[in-house]
Amino acid sequence: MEAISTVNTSTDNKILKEFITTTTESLNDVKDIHEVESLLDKVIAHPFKLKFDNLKLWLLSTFFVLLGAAYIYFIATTRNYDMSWIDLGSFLILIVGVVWPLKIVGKRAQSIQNLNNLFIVKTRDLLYRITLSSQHFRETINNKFVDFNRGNYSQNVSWCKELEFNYNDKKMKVDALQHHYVVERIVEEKVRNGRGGYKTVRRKVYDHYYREGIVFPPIAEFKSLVISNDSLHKKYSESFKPTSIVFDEHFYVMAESEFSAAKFLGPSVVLAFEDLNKKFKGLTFEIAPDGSILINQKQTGLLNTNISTSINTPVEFKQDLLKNLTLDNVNIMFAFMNNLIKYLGK
Amino acid sequence: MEIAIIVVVVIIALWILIAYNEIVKKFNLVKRGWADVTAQERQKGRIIPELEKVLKDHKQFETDLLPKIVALRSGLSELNDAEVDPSKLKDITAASKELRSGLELTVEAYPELKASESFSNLMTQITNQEENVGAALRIFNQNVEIFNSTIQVFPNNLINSSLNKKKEIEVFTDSEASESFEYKPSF
Repeated sequence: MEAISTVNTSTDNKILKEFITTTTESLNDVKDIHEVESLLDKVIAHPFKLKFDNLKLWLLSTFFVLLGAAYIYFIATTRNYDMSWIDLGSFLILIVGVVWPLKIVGKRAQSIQNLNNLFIVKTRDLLYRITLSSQHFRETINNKFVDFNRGNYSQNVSWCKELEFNYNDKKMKVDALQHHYVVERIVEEKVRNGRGGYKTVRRKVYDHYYREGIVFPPIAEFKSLVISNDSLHKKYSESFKPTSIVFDEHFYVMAESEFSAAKFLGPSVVLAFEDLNKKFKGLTFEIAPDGSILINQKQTGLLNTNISTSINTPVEFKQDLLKNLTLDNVNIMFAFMNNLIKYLGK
Repeated sequence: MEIAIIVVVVIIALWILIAYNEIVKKFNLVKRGWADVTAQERQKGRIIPELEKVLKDHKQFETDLLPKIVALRSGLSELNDAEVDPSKLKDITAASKELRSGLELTVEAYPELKASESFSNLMTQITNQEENVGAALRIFNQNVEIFNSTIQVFPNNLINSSLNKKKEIEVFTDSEASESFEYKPSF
């Protein structure tokens, strides 16, 4: 501690900046969770605890604020606010003098926040084995499901990531994705016509919507089946209503074969859907003609973690990351699929 | 004035028609729910011959399990799809539970049975069927609750008492399970 206290502030900040840069670079290259752990240990052991000394910058900014106030007072009392171009130029310099130190403070805080987020993302990716989806998946996913047939203007899959799903002591690669669609609509507005009155003008507005879900490979012989909260584009002609009043109130069922839908929607599966419906809004479960399964819903942040601590308290942050990190919504979908696999007897 | 009266009469007639149909629809769903329960229960009957085949070489089977299988069989044969009667289901549930616990005891006595793949498959099938029966019962009870509420609320109770004339349906309760609770709700 003695040695540290003799180092001057600008050197401290420089060391910390370099530490953040090297840690970020190392974090980008980590291959397993132990490497993340050792980087977290370095953060914990770092003498400055990821805290920049911004005192000089705050003082500088405050100085320019006071100087500006004094300058305004001077102009008000001596020239009754009559300002020349030189005054305006001086003000511009004063504003830069106020903003520039604040910008550096913000940039420093942002670099810590970015490192914090990178730790969370890397830990999440390693624990759930998240990688980019395969090229084949990205190329074929856009028109695979009826649920993607939304939006009268455009639709696309904004991102997709591959992750690992465990079932019956086996592992399976699945893909999480975000579906984006745009609805174009025309609105009428009253605007002034320049002659003291109003006229009605029509203009197009574009509403953007996002849905996030997971695509699973085939798990049983079922195909071409849609179970959704929404009445979707009618791709399949058959419909089916299970016995449950609650299920029928919330879901539309559309299938290529009514027999297949009836076989799929056994009592346990119906109840599993009713439970899933309590957790998500705008839910769609769809089995494509090739047997791939989509669970999609309208809440975003599917891959967001539940981490509540930050790198500013590194010891708690490390414990939270390594012991408590979960993807709650992903886990709910995984639990539902595990139940389906059990009921459908794969 | 006359038009206003006609409009009011038409609205009331429509409203009665909708409420009447709603009661009929929900009653039919309760009946369908019951048919699902009985269908799921009858699935157990299909496993019995396979079970007998696997267990026939074990003495304990003859003495302990056979009466339980007979009880389950006779209960299943009394189940009626058309008549919603949860009381008969209670006997089957009890017989089913006894058979299951009997099977677990038999397995303890015959370790080679525990290791047998066909027995293990049968036990998995029985578990799945139990779950499906449980789920079908939950759906049936949900439907019954919704139906009972539909005929109890005003003004549906007036329409039901004068037109539909449906009675409240008893939900299925597992008396054996509820007996283990000390708490008894006083409705």
